[in-house]
Amino acid sequence: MKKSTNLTIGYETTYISKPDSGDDALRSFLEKLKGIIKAHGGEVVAVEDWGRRRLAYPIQKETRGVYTHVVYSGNNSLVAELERNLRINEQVIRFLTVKIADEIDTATFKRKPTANIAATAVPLPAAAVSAAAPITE
Amino acid sequence: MRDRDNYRDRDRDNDKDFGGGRDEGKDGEGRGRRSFSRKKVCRFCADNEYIMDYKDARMMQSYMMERGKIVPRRISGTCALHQRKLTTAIKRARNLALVGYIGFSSGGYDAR
Repeated sequence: MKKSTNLTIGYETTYISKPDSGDDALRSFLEKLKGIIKAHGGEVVAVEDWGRRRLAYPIQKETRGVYTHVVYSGNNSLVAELERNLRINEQVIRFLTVKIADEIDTATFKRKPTANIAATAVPLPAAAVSAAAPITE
Repeated sequence: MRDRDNYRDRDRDNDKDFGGGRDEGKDGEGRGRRSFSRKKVCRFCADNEYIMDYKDARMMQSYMMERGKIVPRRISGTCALHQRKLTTAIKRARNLALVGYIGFSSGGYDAR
């Protein structure tokens, strides 16, 4: 068996979308990513919406971005497929995937909510209020 | 480097620490005054609960100089293990624009 068939590796991916992308577009893209994760036999552990934040430096002339953070289990081919999709989507200006565990038990996996993220988020009229609140499905 | 000793205090209490210590070295007691040392403790070792996290921008900013440089171990007192983890965390956060490459926060460009 190849190592890549191991489906218990834990990953987390954060991606930044352009601030002017609509909520519907963001949501449907997130659903698409979730679909990809499931199609590859992975499991979504947590999704966090950090809201609209000010970027520390401009990326593609944007000074703000919408951060979405996804924790999931899967294998390397899933990560490759996800990142391919992130690259294709023009609304996504930056993403980062980090391996968080060699083996992840998706049922019991828990971690600190990233409260400090919300603290540093730029308060914006619309979206920032719900920053770091988990998205309910 | 001038901001070596004072880099941290400068943020907290601005004027108090300026000039202190450094100038003392020139007159009389010179070496003796400077060579007193407080034991530096790695803050991450002190807090076993804490897990190094590239998402914690606040934490990382306290280990970065104003210009965005990572504060060296000899100044912050961080142990080797945690300094390594901290460095990775900061570099990841830079990539995600949580902290800057130049200047640790969003200063420096006009974001309105």
